[in-house]
Amino acid sequence: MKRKRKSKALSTADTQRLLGSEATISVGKLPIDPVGMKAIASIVRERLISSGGRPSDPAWTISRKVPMRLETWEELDRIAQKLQKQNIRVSAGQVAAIALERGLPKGVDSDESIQLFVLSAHEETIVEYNISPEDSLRGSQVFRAMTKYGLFSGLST
Amino acid sequence: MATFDTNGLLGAIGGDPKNFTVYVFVPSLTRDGEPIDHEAWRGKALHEMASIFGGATAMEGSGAWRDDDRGGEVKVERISTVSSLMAESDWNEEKVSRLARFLHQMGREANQGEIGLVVDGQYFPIREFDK
Repeated sequence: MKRKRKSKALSTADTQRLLGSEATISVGKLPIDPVGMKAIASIVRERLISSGGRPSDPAWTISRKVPMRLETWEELDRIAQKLQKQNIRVSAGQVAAIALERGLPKGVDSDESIQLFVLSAHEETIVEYNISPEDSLRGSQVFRAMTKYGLFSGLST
Repeated sequence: MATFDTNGLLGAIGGDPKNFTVYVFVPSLTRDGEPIDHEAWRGKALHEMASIFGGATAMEGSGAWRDDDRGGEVKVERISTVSSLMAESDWNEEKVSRLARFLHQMGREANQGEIGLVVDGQYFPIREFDK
């Protein structure tokens, strides 16, 4: 008989938040025997370098902490999980990075233009990543929230 | 298929299966290539992880990482892998917060560009040490 699971470990998003870590990379199962354990660092290195990891833009060479509401992070994580189910290996942090980079206006600095730009940029992301209309709506809410809570306030004059 | 009471036959303690693994990589060099007291940090990692999760094992090997903040230079160094086996329920907020404090301390005091750990098949890179 299959044993019912009583408790679960923290989610990846919660672990990432508590550890203060960057986006995670899947390295799969690792050996736990003494001989295999001696090679773990090499195995992890290979898997991080190989194309099996998450798609990461090579231009992303710096990382910064961006304050946001817990609900916003949960939405990003939910979108990432949805994408993962479609075999698009992306973390919540990477969804946020894509959203930010696509949302940054060039040469337009009014609040209204910024918001319009962010929303239209998000629609491009939706097409590219095949996000469902339901996620599209939720994603737009995320962007509105990000704008509302001042994420882009430093860009307006 | 026949099933056996493995715990009973081995005289082992019951409870949730300890099938959740965490690996922490302990460095031997600073991000500038200066040696640090590797044995001392490995000992601290063993002590801390055993204290938090009930046990830990260290294995020495070699490792490499890419310093993206410094032109993508690849650093090769002797490292130790310290691992703990635990039940899923042991990977909880209180214990992860304790581990995070230690990892951030190691990152700061050993002047690291990144502290890495693998949790159940996911690699978590920590690059800012403020906990």
